[in-house]
Amino acid sequence: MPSDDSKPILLIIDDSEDVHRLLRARLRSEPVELVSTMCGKDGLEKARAARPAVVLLDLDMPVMHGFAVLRELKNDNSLTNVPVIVLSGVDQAHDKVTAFELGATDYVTKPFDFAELRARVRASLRMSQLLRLLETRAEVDGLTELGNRAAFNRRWEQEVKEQHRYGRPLTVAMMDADHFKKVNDTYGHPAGDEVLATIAKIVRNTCRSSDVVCRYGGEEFVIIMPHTGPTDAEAVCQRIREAVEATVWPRHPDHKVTISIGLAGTEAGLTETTGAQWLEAADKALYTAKKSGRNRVVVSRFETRGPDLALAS
Amino acid sequence: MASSPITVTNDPIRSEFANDPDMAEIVSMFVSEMPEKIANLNKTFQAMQFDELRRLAHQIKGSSGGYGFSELGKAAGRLEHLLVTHGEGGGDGDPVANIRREFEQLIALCKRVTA
Repeated sequence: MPSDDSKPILLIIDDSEDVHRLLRARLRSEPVELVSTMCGKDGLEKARAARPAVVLLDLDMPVMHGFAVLRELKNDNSLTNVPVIVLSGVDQAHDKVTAFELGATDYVTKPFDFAELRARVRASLRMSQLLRLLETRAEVDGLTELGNRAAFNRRWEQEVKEQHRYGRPLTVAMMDADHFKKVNDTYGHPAGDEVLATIAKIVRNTCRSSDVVCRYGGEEFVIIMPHTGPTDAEAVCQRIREAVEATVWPRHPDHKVTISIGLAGTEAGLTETTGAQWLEAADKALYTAKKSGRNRVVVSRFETRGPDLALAS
Repeated sequence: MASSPITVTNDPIRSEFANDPDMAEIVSMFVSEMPEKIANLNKTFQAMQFDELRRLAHQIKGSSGGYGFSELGKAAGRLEHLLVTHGEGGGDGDPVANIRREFEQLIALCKRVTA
């Protein structure tokens, strides 16, 4: 369980104030923070804002039926794994089947037996905790402790959506260790691993806390730089490139390691560039950096006309 | 569903959780709000808003047991059932008369509720 100052949130969506009062009284001693709402629409907003550990959801509500709320919760990528316990006054098999088919974790009929309800809430909290642990583990690269490709994909999709909505600056950087195979072949895989872990550390330490650094695969890394145009992003990437070049490697002090970086980004303004096109442009810029001698940063800017390659180093 | 006999007693109904210190406060709140619920039920019944009446009965069914008034919850459940059947075009004999009988019984029980 998290510590007291970050109790897991239990979101209760039910149109009866009597039920809210009962649940508050009966769940008082549970290590959860209760967030209550009487309306399904507001419940969805609260769920998106508060990231609850578990949702208790009534079915028979005016305006928005519980099943409609459940469907939206399960269609939202960031909420789809939150366990939902359906609270219903209807003890009918077809409602239970529908609830489970829509993704509910549990189904409790009113009036509640409170010992049972508490036990079911605890079971769902345990499930929620394990799912969160799994999500975290599944998105972390074991060697570098950076986010992995899955973590990158999830964040990238969000950032591109934000860019399309608000037209804020955004840049993505793809980087690749130059002649990395040679390090592995000459000094062995432990030396190669050390290079990757050290590059990861340099990148993390050089980037701002708002940047998202992930291992893209092999010796490739990727940085999402939200609210950052290509000019500022290029300055950060130049510092990373210089720091890697200046590193002295204990296992091979005479063998320098360098990296090539390709950037694709836009200053403020709306673009219709898709996430995939954006990555493709960064990848092309990286290819150009490699072709033109390595150990350099190449920038591709999205203007109104589309990507425009300009050699920057 | 067979109609149940009309209850004639006026004895107060106490919460099954009357001695539970965790519940005392919210049980008395539930009881103090009962006149408002009764007024709302009456208004809805008189306006023949049966779907809204069904929703109110459904809420009372769902919460009363939790406050230790399971008899009230069961009566609300019977009224809800009749209203659902009526809404689907079913019901034996004179459905509205049956609804009225269950409705009156529920109101009688509501009036007897005490903390």
